[in-house]
Amino acid sequence: MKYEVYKNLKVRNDFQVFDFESSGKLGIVRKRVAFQTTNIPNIYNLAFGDVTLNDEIDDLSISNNGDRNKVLATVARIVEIYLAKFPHRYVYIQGSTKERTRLYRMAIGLNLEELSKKFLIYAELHNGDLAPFYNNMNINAFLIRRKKS
Amino acid sequence: MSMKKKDKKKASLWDLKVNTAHDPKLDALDPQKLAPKKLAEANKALSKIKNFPPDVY
Repeated sequence: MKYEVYKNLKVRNDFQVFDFESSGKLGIVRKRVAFQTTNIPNIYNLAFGDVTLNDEIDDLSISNNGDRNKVLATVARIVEIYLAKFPHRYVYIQGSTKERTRLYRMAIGLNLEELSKKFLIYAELHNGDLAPFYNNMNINAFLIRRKKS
Repeated sequence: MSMKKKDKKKASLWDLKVNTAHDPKLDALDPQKLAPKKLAEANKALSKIKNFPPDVY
């Protein structure tokens, strides 16, 4: 499936931060994705949300700009760009709320066949175990890496 | 590839091209401080995982 994306991305020199603008019914909303180093050397946490006045990420904001799927597809594209740049890294993705984690799970599930061609997708289960992701799993987060070619 | 085959090519998630432009303003940011609470939660969750794939370390 092909989804509309925001095509103009701004990026930090080391690819750890990406910005783009959501344009919808309420106007322009600045969005930011950051890849943060974690305590596990090869795993990077994905932080995503609206840009605040302090230049931080508000991952609990609800923009209600009418472009949710386009924003999600843009974030997916950013993850794809990041993992193409750093194919040995893992990205840890957890929604800021249970509802958002469920939304990510549905979005990944809908496109699992295509995503699985390019990525290894693990689910973090609620007991803390990692398992290969399959549709409709009850999960806490995702851990994703590009497949070795 | 013939037109017929082209037409049948399945649409891909990655078909639409995007432009990435370096923004020097982003260089001044510390990614670790952009969402510290989220990062702390991630580290807490990651610390509980016992069965990472072998290439994580």
